[in-house]
Amino acid sequence: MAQKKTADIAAVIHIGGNAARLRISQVKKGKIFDLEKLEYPLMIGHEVFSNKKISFSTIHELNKALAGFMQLIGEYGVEEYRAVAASALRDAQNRILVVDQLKVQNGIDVEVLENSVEKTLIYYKISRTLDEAGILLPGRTLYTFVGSGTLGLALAEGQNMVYAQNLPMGALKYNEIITDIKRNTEEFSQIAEEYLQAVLKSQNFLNDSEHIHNLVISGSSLELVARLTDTAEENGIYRVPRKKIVALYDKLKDANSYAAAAKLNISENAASLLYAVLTIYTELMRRVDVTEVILPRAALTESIMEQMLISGAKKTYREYIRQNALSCARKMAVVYECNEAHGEFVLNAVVTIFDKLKKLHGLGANERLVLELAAILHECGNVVSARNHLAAAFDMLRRSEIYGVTFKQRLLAAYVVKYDEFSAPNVGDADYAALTDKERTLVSKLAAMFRLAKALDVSGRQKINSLAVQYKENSVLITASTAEGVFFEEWAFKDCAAFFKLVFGVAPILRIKRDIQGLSGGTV
Amino acid sequence: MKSTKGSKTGKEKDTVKEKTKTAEKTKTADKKTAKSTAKKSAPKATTEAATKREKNEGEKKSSPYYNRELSWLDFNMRVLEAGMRDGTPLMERLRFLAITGSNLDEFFMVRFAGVLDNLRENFFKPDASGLSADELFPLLAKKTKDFMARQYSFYNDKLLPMLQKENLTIKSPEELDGSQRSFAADYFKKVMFPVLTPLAVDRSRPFPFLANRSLNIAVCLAADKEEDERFAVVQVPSILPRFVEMPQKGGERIFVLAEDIIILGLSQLFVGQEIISAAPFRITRDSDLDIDEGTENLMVEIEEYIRRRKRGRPVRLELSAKCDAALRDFLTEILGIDELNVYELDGPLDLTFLFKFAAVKNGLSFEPIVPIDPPLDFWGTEDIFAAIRERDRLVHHPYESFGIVMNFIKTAAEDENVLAIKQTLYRVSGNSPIVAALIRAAELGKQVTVLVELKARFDEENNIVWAKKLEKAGCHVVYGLSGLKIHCKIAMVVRREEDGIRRYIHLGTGNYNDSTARIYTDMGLFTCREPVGIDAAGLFNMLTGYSNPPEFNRLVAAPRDMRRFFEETIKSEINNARAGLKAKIIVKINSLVDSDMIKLLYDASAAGVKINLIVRGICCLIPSLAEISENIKVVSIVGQLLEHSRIFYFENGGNPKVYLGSADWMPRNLDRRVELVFPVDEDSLKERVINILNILLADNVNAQTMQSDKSYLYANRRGKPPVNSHREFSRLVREGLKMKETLLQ
Repeated sequence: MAQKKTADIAAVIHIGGNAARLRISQVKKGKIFDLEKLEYPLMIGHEVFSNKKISFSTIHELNKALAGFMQLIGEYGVEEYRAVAASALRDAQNRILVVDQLKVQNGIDVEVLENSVEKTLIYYKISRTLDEAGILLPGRTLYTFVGSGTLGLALAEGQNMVYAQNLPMGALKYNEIITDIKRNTEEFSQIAEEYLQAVLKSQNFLNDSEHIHNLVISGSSLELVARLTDTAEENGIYRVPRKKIVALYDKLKDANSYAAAAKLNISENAASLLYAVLTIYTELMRRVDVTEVILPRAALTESIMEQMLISGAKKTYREYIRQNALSCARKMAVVYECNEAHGEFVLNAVVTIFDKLKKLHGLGANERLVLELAAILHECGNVVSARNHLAAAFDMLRRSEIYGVTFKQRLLAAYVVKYDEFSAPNVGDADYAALTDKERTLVSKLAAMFRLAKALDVSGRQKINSLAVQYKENSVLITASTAEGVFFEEWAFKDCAAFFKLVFGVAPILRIKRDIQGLSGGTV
Repeated sequence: MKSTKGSKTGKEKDTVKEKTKTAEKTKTADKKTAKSTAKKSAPKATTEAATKREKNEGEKKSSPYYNRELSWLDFNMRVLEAGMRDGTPLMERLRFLAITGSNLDEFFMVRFAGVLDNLRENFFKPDASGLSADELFPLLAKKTKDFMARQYSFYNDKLLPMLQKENLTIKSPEELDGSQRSFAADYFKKVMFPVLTPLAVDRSRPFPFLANRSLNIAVCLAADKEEDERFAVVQVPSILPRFVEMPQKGGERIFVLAEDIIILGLSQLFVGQEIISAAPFRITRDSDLDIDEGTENLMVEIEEYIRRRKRGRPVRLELSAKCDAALRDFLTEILGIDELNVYELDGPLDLTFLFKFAAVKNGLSFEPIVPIDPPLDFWGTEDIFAAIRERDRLVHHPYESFGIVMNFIKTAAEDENVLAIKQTLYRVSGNSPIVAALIRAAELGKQVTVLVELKARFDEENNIVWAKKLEKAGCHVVYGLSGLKIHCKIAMVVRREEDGIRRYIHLGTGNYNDSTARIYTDMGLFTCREPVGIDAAGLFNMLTGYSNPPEFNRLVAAPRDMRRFFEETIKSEINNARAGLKAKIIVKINSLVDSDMIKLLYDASAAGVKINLIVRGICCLIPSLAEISENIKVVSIVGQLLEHSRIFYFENGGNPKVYLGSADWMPRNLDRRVELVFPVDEDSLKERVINILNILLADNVNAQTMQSDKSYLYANRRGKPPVNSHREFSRLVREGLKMKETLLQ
C-alpha cells in the first residue's frame, strides 16, 4: 500500500515491579507526543521480593498483557520498539526462563537492564527535565530514584556526577519488609526507620549533610505524594516543601494501612507503599539540609523513547554518560589516592593513540571510554596492596559502581589495568583464558594501546609535553616531544611494543623530539 | 367478538358451574395458601414491614420521590395521549397506540416481572418513594388495567370510527357478509390451514409451551367419554399477516384479523368435534433473568440465557373480553397465573399490528422529517477528515442525516492512510451498513477492534450474529466487560498523516443504528483534538483489557468518574447560587431515577439554582414542591420523534459548560455501565446546543409539564404561537442550508 511520508513513531514496553507498561510516541517538529500510555497491573515485584521467582500464573498474565501491547503496536504501524525490564526481572531467579517464554509466546526480546543502565537513563531524564524547566542546582545535589527493588543514589557537584550507588532496597521490597515487621509489632515505624538507616549506613557521603544542598527524588508514588501535599506541577516538576512531606509522613507513621487508607482516601495497597516511600524520603531528608524536595517526573520509558525518536539523542546521551562517568571516576581516583597528574597523562596519551589508530583497531566510543576509565583508575590497587596492585586494581575496578558504566565496560577496564609493562594478556592468565575469543581480542587490543600509553609516563613525572601519532603504510609512529631525558620511558615503550605488534601486526615506533622552548606541536 | 358455544344440557351446565366454582375456590384457597406461606416463611419481615409502613405512612404520603414503575406508566400514558390529541394524523394515532402496546409488553417482561419476583422472594424493602413490593403491586396492577382500558377505549371509540371515515374497516366475523365469509374460508383453507397445528391438552398431552408474546387461540371442545370438557390451543402463526384485506366493496376496504379467520375455520381443524367456545389469548413471560458474567465464555452464556428467557415464568395473561369462564379458568389454572395478572381486553390482543396497519393508506401521517445531507457543519466540505481537522463538527439527528456517521466509518475503511478503527456497538440495525464498513475495513487490512455489547437487552441474538460476522472477517471483537454493560457510543479512527498519527473521534448520544437514527433525536460530535484522542485511546485500551482505567483529560466516564463529576458540578452551582452568582442547570435525559442525584437537585433548588429538566420518560423527581423543588421544572416531550439525546448544561457562574453524553441519570448508567459524557468546547457549537435546549424548553405542542401532584399537563398556549420543537429543528437546519447555499452563490 502506498504511504505518505510520516513522522517517526516508536514504542517502549517496560516490565516493572507492579505493572507492565507500554508507551507509544511520535515525534513532531522535534517534540515527542505520546499516543498511548498503558499500564497493566501485575504483582511481579511482590512475587520476586518475597519468593525470588515469578510464578507461572504471573508469566501467563504478563504474556497476555504483552500480546495486547503487540496488538496495539501493530495497530499504529510501529516498526521500532524496545522491551525492557529492570529490578523486578533482574532479581528473579527464573529470569532467563521468563525472558525465554516472552520471546516464544510473543516474539519479544526483553532486555533486562543493569542497575546502572536503568538508573542512568532515569537520571538523564531528570537532568533534561530540570534543564528544560530552567532549574540550575548549584552546589551538591543528591539524586535519588526510588525503584521497586533498588534505591539509586547519585551525587552531583554542579552539573557533574561524582558518585553513584544502587542499594538493594526499593519501595516494593522495603514495603514487603515493613509489612512483615508490622505483623510482629505495633512499634513498626521505629524499626522500619532503623532498618533503613542500616541500609544507608554504608553511604558515608550521606553523613556529610552540610555539604548537600539539593535533594531530587523521583520514582515510586511520586504523583501520589504530590497530590497529597497539594503540590502543583510545573514543567513536569513538583517542588514540595520539606514540612509538608514531614506532615504527610506523620499521618502515616504508626497507623495501620487500613486506617491510613481511610485518612487519605486511597487504597490500602497504595497507603502501604506510600508509607515505605515516605520513610525513605524522610530518612534522606534527615541527612540533607534542604527546605524543599524536588520531585521531577521521569519515567524510564521516556528516556528510552527520546533516544529512539530524537535525532542525535543517542550521541548526546553517550556524551553525557562519558562526562559523568569520567567525573565519577576522577572522584574515585581521589579516594583511592591515585596520582591525578599521571592519570590525566595516561588518559590523554591513550585517547590520542586510540583516535589516530581507528583504522587499525576498529573500535568505538564504548571502548574509548573504557580506556579513559582505565587511565584514571589504574593505580587504585595500590591503596590495597603495593605488591599485588595490578590484581587488586582488577578486582576493585570490576566491582566498583561507576555512574553510567555497564558491568561489561567495567570488566573490560579491569582487564586493561591488569597488565603493565612487565605483563601482557596471555592464556597463562586464568582470568584472561576464561574469556571468549572475541573478548580476548578486545582485551588484547585495549591492553596493547593502554600499555603503550602508560609506558610513556612510566616514571610518573609527565616528562613528555606533547604526543603525535601517525599511522600509515603499516607503521605506527609516535612522536613524543620532551625537554627531558626519557630513557626510562623509551625502555618501557620498547617492552610494550612487542605485544602491540603481536596484536596489530604493526610495530609502534617511538620517536623523541627535543622540545626546545615549547616549539614542537601537539599536546599531551 | 362472540365466542362460539354449543348448547349445553342442564346437567352439563351445572357441571361447568360446579367446576368453575371449584376452580374459583381452589384459586382462592391457593391465594390464601400463598399468602400464608409467604407470611409463614417470612413472618418477621412482613410484621416489620407492616410496622414500618404504619410508622412511615405519613412520611410516605409526602415522599418527594415518585415510584419508578408508576412513573413509567405515566410516560406510556403520555405516549397514548400524543396519539389521542387533536391534530395528530390518523395513521400516527395508530402508531402511537401500537407503541404503547409494545412498550407495555417490555414493561411486563422486565419491570413488572421484577416486582413479582420481589414478592415471590419476600423482598419488601421500600424503594425511595417508600413503596415496598407488596404495596406497589396492587397499585401497578390497577394502573396497568386502567391504562389498557384506556387503550382499548381509544381503539374502539375513536380509532375504529376514524378509520371507517377513511373507508377502512376492521370487521369481526359476525360482521362479515356471505361473500366475505367465503373469502375468509378460502383464505383459511389455502393459506392458513397448512401451517396450523392444533394442540389438544389432556392427560397424555400436556399444555404446549407457548412462546412469549405469541398470539394463540384457546378452544373448548365438547365432552367425550373420558373427559368432561376438552381444551386445545392453536397458535396464530406470526409468519402470516395479522390482518387480511377482503375484496373491496364500493370503495370501502375491509380487513379481518387472522385470529378471527382461524376461529371461523376451527371446525376444519377439529373435524368431528363440537366446539363449545374459542377465544384468543396471549401470555407475556418474565425476561428479567440473570446472566452469569463470571463465565469464561460470555457468548455461550448469553446464548443459554436467550434460551432460558424464552421459558420465563408467565407474568401476564391477556384474554379477549368475550372469553367464557371455562376457557378463562382453564388458562389461568394451567398457566398458574394470579387473577390480578389476567387482563380482559375489549379488542384485538397485541396492538403492535397497528404499526403495519398504519401503512395501508398514505397521506394520513405526519409530514416526514427528511434529514439534510450532508449536515450543516459538513456542508461544503469534501474531505471528512480535513473538515474535522479544521475544527470540531456537531450533528443533530434526525434533522441531519446519520449518513455522515456511516460515511465516517466507510471513508476510514477505504482510506489507505487509516491504520485502525475502533468502535463500540450496543444496538445495530439489521443489515447494518456500519458493520459492513467495519468488515470491509478488516478485509482491507486495517486493524479493526469492535466492542459488541452482547448484553443489550432483547438485542442479544442480533448482536451475537454481528459479533460472529465481524470475527470471521478478521476484526478483533470484544464482548463487553464482566459486570458492566458498554453503553457509550464512540468510534475512533487512527490515521497516519504527513505530520504524524492523528486520531479522529466520533462521540454520540445515540446508538450506531441507521434505522433508529431516522426516528430518534440524537447528537454527535466529531473531533480530532489530542486530549480527546488520548482519552478515547485510553478508554478502548481499558475496554479491551490491555490497561488500567486511565485518568481522563476531557471525557467523563462511568462507572468510575461520572457520578462524582455530576455531583461536583451540581455542588458548584449550589455554591455559585449561595454566592449570589448566576446558577442554572438544564438537563435533558430519558430517565431520572437515581435518588442521590435527585436529592442533590433538591438541594440545588433549595439553594436557589434554577433547574430545568427535560425528561422524556421516567421521572422520580417531583417538581414544584414547596421548600423542596420550587425551582425545578420538568417537561416531557413526546411527539413525532423519540427524544433520545442527553444534554447537560451548567451555568458555571456565567461561563456555561455544555456536555453531551450517553448516560441517563439512573443507577445503572452511573454505576453499572460504561458511559461517556463529553464537553462541547467550541463556542459556536456550544451556542448551537444551548439554542437546542432553549427550543426544547419552548416547545408548547409536544411538551407536557410535570405538576407537583405527579400529573402532566400540556401547555395552555393562550394565543401564543405553537412551537413544535421537532418541526422547528427541521426548519432551522433547512434554513441554515439555504443560507449556506445562498452565500456560496
